[in-house]
Formats: sequence, structure tokens, C-alpha cells
Amino acid sequence: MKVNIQHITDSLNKIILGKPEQIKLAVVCLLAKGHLLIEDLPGMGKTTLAHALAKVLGLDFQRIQFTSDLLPGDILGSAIYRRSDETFKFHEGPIFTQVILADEVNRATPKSQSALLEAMEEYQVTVDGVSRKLPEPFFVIATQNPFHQIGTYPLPESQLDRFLIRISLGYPAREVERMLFTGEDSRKLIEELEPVITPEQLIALQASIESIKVSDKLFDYLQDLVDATRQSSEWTHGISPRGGLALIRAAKAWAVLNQRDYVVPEDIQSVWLGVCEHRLLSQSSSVGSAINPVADILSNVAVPR
Amino acid sequence: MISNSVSAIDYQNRPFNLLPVLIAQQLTLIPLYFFIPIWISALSIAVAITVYFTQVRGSWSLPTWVKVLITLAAAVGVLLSFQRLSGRDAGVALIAVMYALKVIEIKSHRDIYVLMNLGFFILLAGFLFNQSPLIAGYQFVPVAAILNALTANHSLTQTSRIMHRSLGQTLKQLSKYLLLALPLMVVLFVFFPRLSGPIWKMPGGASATSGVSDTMSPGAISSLQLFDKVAFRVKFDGREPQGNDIYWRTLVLDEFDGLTWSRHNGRFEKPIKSITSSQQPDGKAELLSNENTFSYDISLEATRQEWLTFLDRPIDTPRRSRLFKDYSVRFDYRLVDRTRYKGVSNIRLPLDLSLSDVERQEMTAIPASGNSRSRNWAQETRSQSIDDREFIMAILRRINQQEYFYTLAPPIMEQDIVDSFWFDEQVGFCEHYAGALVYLARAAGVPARVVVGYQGAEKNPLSNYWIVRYANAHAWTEIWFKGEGWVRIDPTAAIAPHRVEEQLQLDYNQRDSLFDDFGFAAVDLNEISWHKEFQYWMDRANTGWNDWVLDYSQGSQKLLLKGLGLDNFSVKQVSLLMISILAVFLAVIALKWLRQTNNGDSIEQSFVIMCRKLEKANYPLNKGEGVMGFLSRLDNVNSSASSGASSNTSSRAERINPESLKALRRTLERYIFLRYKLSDITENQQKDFRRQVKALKIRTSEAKPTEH
Repeated sequence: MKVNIQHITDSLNKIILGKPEQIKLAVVCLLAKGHLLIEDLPGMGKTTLAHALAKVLGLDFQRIQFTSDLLPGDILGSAIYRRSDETFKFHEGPIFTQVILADEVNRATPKSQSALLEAMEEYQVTVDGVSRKLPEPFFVIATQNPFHQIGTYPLPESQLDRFLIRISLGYPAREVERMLFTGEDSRKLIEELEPVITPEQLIALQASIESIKVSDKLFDYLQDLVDATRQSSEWTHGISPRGGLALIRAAKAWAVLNQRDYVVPEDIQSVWLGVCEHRLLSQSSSVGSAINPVADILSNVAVPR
Repeated sequence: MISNSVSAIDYQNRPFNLLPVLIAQQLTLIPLYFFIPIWISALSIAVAITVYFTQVRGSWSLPTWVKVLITLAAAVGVLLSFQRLSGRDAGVALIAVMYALKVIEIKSHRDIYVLMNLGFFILLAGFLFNQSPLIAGYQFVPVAAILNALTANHSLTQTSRIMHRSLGQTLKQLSKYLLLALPLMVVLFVFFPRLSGPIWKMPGGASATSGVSDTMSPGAISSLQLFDKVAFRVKFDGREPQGNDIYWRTLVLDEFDGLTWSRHNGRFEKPIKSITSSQQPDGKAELLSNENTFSYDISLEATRQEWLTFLDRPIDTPRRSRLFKDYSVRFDYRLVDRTRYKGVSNIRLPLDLSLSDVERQEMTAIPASGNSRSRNWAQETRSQSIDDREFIMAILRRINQQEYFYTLAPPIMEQDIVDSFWFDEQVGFCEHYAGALVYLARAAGVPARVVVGYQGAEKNPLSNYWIVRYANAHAWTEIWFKGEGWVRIDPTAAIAPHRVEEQLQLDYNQRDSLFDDFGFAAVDLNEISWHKEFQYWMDRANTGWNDWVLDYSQGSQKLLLKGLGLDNFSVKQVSLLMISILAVFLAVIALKWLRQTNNGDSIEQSFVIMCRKLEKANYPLNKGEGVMGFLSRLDNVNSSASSGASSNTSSRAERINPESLKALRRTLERYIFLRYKLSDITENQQKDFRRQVKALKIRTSEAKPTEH
């Protein structure tokens, strides 16, 4: 089992070059049964990552391009009247898959967004009064473009909270990009990818995260960190209890990824930015400045010994 | 599970631990039970038991008026027992009964703290009756019990749970508190300004002891009481010495400060071997068969001193006693019982035929100033004499021929006591004469010293032994003559017989000796049993307690401070000194606590120690840095340094040598294991970890200068 996890990241690293941290976070997100938000410009490899992830894990993959005229039915599916037996038959929408890429999620209307987000939270969709379970595992990768906000409906805080981890891939390093240019087509590489883990194994792996040991001192540390965000004047609100729970789950998954059955402070530190940055709404718009107050918390809060 | 945070609600709802409180209260009162009326003791115990059982059954409280009634009844009871409420006995009884009844009032934790803190005061009341070291030692038991009750009522665990803890563990914790208080106690005791006299005195103090004292201040005595009490009895084996030779030597006083003669450095002087135990068998045999050698049994009454008395110039001494160079004999313990021992003496034993320069200097030392008339007179007289002996004879002649009187009621002499005795008053008893003679001899450069002991003896007409009484106490001199050594000179004997007070002659004949007996039960010094020895030992402890604790007065404080090199300190300065010592002590403790990053568990404390070691090695652990992150940083730094690659971090810190790095890594990994993996850390694991951390040494090897 442990070898498999290593294989997952190894395989992904072959496709997405030079982004091991982001890949790890993506895998952690998956192991922790969370959903991933990628905030990035087009063409950075979001789709490739999602596709590769699905392929490596041997999962089905669907992509929904969010537009302003997208309706909930386009995501969830709808009942269609069949003349032959005079009944309504439910046609599953693209959401009935294991890995779903919701591209440019902020382009859709809030109504459509909430349809997706509800599915993410409940792991089921309700259409015409009938609840339908979504397949397991169910993993949403949503992307949004942070810079072109005209005519978009940015996700409100409450919705952002539903995403366990947010990452951004960013531009590759120069030599990595050269490798990208000279290397094979990533689409072809994905085709050739072999799954390294079965969905059953993945579910078992996700279940094993529950049994990871978190010591008192670690909870102390976690609470110290969360408190620090609540005391700080940098943000209007601190990390919510759901955010705290997300931190624990992500940290546990990180520990599993590092082949440990207990959590150490470094696990929390590693997932801290991914889990917390999108949950904290900066008061003073420090976008683009070199200071990252969320990261500063880590160096300002002492690790309980 | 180790948790170090206590919620305020839990603390507020902490249980009542009444049993330790009652135990502490009773232990506090136990010393008083011996001195207060029995009904109070019985009442106190009954109240405590009742309160305990009602507490076990559930809460119970008396209406206020009942409590008032009980209190009044108790006060009336004390009044009836003593006919008053003031004074030591009645006062303590009243306090005791009130303290005993106080437990009825316990309703909250605050009441418990009041009761327990009052206990410290009650402990002092015991000292009003008895101040022996045993009581003082016992008081540590109630003190520990009170501390235990206080901690028990600050803890969140129930009494029954506390009882499960081993006694050793509890004692360990309590002794920690006591040890912390000990330096404070010592400093306060030593330096707290003492009054010159006691503020108050308890009746029935220790009675004065009489006998030969180890100091002699003739000028301060205005009347000497002759005690008819027996000092010791002697039975000679065979021959008996003549009356002129019967001088009983006890002590030699060889230092004079202008007022008092005392034993010079007596405590630290090295003992010499007695003559019979020396390795010259022929000389020994000769000495023993000498016609001037007498052997005898002495039955010495309790003197409460360590000095043994022998016929002048002892040549053999009992076991456990030491013969000093001045031929005084000291026993290991104070003599608190009638003691019997064997003595062998040679009355013509030559002593110190040669004197070293140091000894000569010591034996001719007199205070630099004072008594100038005597000094001049002595030097003048010496210059007119042919030799030392002639000079001493001249002095004795003066005593004999001039108007020198012997009296037991001399005038008090305060300044220049030798001058005023020798020239003005010319009256005194043996101490005046001996003191004056030695002073005059020393002033003229003749080595001399005072010997105190007893002179004479009276034979019991009914049996074959001799009795020496306190009235026989005497002081004489020893003068050193070249070629003769120390020679006994008794200036008192030079007084013309008609100038000795008649009253004295009368006193001497009014003695009852008829019913006296040598065969009294006495402790034989050669057969001291272990319990006798324990008794002696206890007595010594008692003496030390009396001298250094109970009688620790302004004088002893000054003496002690002088020993510490702090003489001439005023009370104000001593107080300031005390306060500053206390302040430093408290500051040290406070600092230690602050550094301990409050109430950490053992693992945390060990970790703090390790962090200090790391800081010293220039590898500090950052505030927000986990141990695992630190480990990888450590590896980065050390591997990059070894591979010669230069980076900012590696250039700053020195490389840790591989051995230490391995040990450090092991320790840090152990920490991670204990801290994050285990849910329950046993005490042994904590101790092991502490040991591991303490053993850890971080050595850095010199890093090669890095090239940029």
C-alpha cells in the first residue's frame, strides 16, 4: 500500500514537471476525501493534472467547462420524457463520474455553482425529489482564473471553504519548461499511463487516514495556529472549525503520504498554506506584495514542545 | 495522558479533600496534647472524627447559634480549668480548643486554607512548653502534613485517588517544597537581627550548672558561694599522696584578654599519646613503679562538661578520652551522669622540658594595653632578680609579707583588674592570685599559665576513699623554668594564714560525710553500653541545639558573623544583608521558573535542556520549527558542509561531528516518537528520555572556511 502512494506521486511527477509540492498537495487532497481548487491562468496544466490524476488512480474522468449560461441540469443531468414507454428517464449529467474537472468555476451563475458545491458536500445529487448517490471515490478539481473577474461570479467565502486545498501551479522554472518543450506531448504520455492503484485500494487508503494518531501536543499546535488567525487583524475572519477539521485531515493525509502513522507539526506546516490561504480573506489587499501573512503565522506561532 | 492545562471550571469544582486536612490538624495538635487538659484533647479528637464521618455520609452543617454555643462552652471550660484565660497554660489551651473546633466551620476551600495556615502558628505554641530538638524535629511531620493537605486541596483528584499514590512519591513532592524553604529559613535564622536580651522569658528554664568552668573572670565575681556538693570521690590503690601534693588537675587556661582567662584554641588542639601507651616499655614500667606514681579510681559527679579530672599530671587516661599537650583530658561526650574511671598520675612528672618559640610566645602573651602598673612593676622586679625562679619568689614574698587577704567576697574590678587587685584592693580568692601571678610572670617574659581544678580532699573517716567537693575548686599556676619544665606554683598558699577569712575555716567544718559512700552506681568509662553512648550523643545534640538554636543571641550572631568576616556590622547592615540574600535567592528561583516555560511535563523539560545545548552548539531551534524540520535542516547543513559546497547556512554554523550528530538524531527521533506517536508516556520513558538528553553532548568540529 505504502509503495503505491509513492508510485502515484512518481507517475504524476513525470507528467507535470517541476511541481512536486503541488502534486503532493493534490494527492493529499484526494486521500483526505477533499476537493481541490486550482487558482491559475489558463494553460498552466490544470487539465493535464486532473487528467493524469484520474488516469493514475484508474478513475473515470469528466470535464465541465463552466460558462455563464450553464444550468444546473447541465451538470447534474435531467429527466427526459421517453415516448416509447411514456415515462421520464433520468439522464445522468457529467457529474456522475469519479474525477471531475470543473473548469473556470467562477464563470457560471451562483445557481449552477451551488449545484456543484452541494454535490461536493453531500456526495449525492437530488433531482426531482430523488437522491442519487455519486460514485466513489468522488473528487472535484475546480479551477478559477483569479485575474479576469469581469462578468464572473467569484466564489463566496462560504463556498471556498468547501474546497479542502487550494493550489496554484504557476509558471514552470526555465529548465523545466525547456524539458516541456523538448519532451513528448503530455496528452500522449497520459494515454500511456498505467493505473498504479485500484479504486478499492484508494478507498481503503482513504479510510486508513482516520486511524492516524494525532497527539495532544499536536492539537495544541493546531489550536494555537487557528487562534492566531482569529486574533490577527490581517483577516476579517479567522479559520473556521471546518477549516480546523480540514487542517487535521490534510495533515493526516500528508503523514500517510510520508509513510507515518502519526502526525508531526511539519505535516500541518506543509498543508497550512494550501488549506488556509483561500479561507482567509485579506483585509488589506496585499495581493502581489512579498509578505504572505498566512505563511508568517507559521514562523510566529511556537511549536509546543 | 499528559495534559498541562486545567480548566477554570474544573478547578473551581475540585473536590474537598478533608481527610488530609484532619490528619494535619491532629498532627499539629499532638504536641499540645501533652500539656493541655485531657478533656480538650479528647474533644479535639472526637470533633475531628465526627466531622470526618459526617463528611463521608454527605454534607452537614450546624446552625450558627449551635456553633456559637459550642465555642462559648469551650471557652468557659478553659476558664473553669485554669480559673483564667490569660497566661501560658490557659492561653495555649484556649487556642488549642478553638483550633480543634475550627474544623466544624469548614464549608469551602478557603476555610481549609485558613485552618491549615493557622496550623503553622499552632506549631509555635508547642515551643512554649518544650524546646527540645526532638519536638523541633517532630514539627517537620505536621509541617509536611499541612503542605500535603494544601496540595491535596489544590488538586483535581479525589482523596481516594491521592491515597493510591505511593507514600514515597508524596514525600518526594513535599520534601521538594521543604527543601525550597530551607535556605530561606537558614538565612532568616542566621541574619535576622537579634535583640540583646530576650523579649520575654518562659518560667522554668534550665538550671545553672556549677563546677570547674572553662573560663575564669575573677574581676566579675562579687561573691563566691562555696558548694558543699561532692565533686568527685577518689579511692587510691595502695599508697596515698600527701596533702601538699593533692592537686586535681582539670583544665589549663592560657589565654588572657584583659578580663577573662580562657583555653587557647582548646577545641582544635591535637591530643597527645598518654605516656603509658607510648612505645617505651622500660620507661613505662619505671614510671609506673615510681614512688611518685599513684593509681586510683575516680567517681566523678555529673559536671555537664567534657573535661575529666585527674590527680595532677595524669600519665594514663581512660578510653574515649584524649590527653592534650597541656595535660588536660577531654572525654568524647559531656558527663551527664556520675562517671567512674581509673587514673594513673605521677605527681612529679616533668612537663615540657623544652619550649618551642611558638609555645614560649603563647605562654608569655598578654594584652598589648592595660595593667601598665603591674607590667612595669613586673619588669622592674625581674631586672632586680637573678633568675626567673628568684623573680617568682619575690612575687610570692610580696603576697606573704604585704597586706594580701583571702576572701570569698572580693570587690568587683572592671578595668585593669590585675592593677587594681595587685596594688589597690589586695583582696581576692584563688583566681585573683593565680591570674595576677601569671600576668606578672608573663609581663616579665616568664612563661606561665593558670591551672584550674581542685585542691585537697578529705578522707571519709568511715571508709578508705577521699571526697572532693565543689568548695575544693581551686586555681593555681604553672611557671616554666629552664631545666625544670612546668612547675606548679600556688600563690594562694603564700598568703599568711591569719589573713585568710575566718568564716572560711568555719565553713570547712560543717560538712556531712557520714552517710557518704563511694559505691554509688556510676557509669564506668571502660564499659559504656550502646544505649549509654546514645544518651551521651543525644545530650551532645541537645547542647548544640541549646547553644546554637535556643541561645542564638546577639552575641552568638556577632560571633558567627565575625567568623564569616562580617564583624563590625550594624543591625541595619545585617538586615540589609539578609534582605539582599533573600532577594537574590527568590530571584534565582523566579528565573528558574520563568525559564522552565511554565508547567511543562517531564518530556518538555528535557526538551528545553536539549534546546539549550543546541543553542550552545550554535544550532538554535527556531520558534515555529518542528523537530522533523529541524532534523532535515541539520542534515542539509551538515551534508553541504562536508561536500564542500558553500551556502549561507553552512558558513555560519560549525559542523557537528558525526558521532554527536548520530546521538542528536537518535534523541530527536526519540522525542518525535514519544511526543507524537505514543498516547501514553510512562514515567520510565520520561526518565529514560531525560537521561538520554542529559547524556547528549553536541560537539562541533571546526568547519573549513567556506569559499564564496
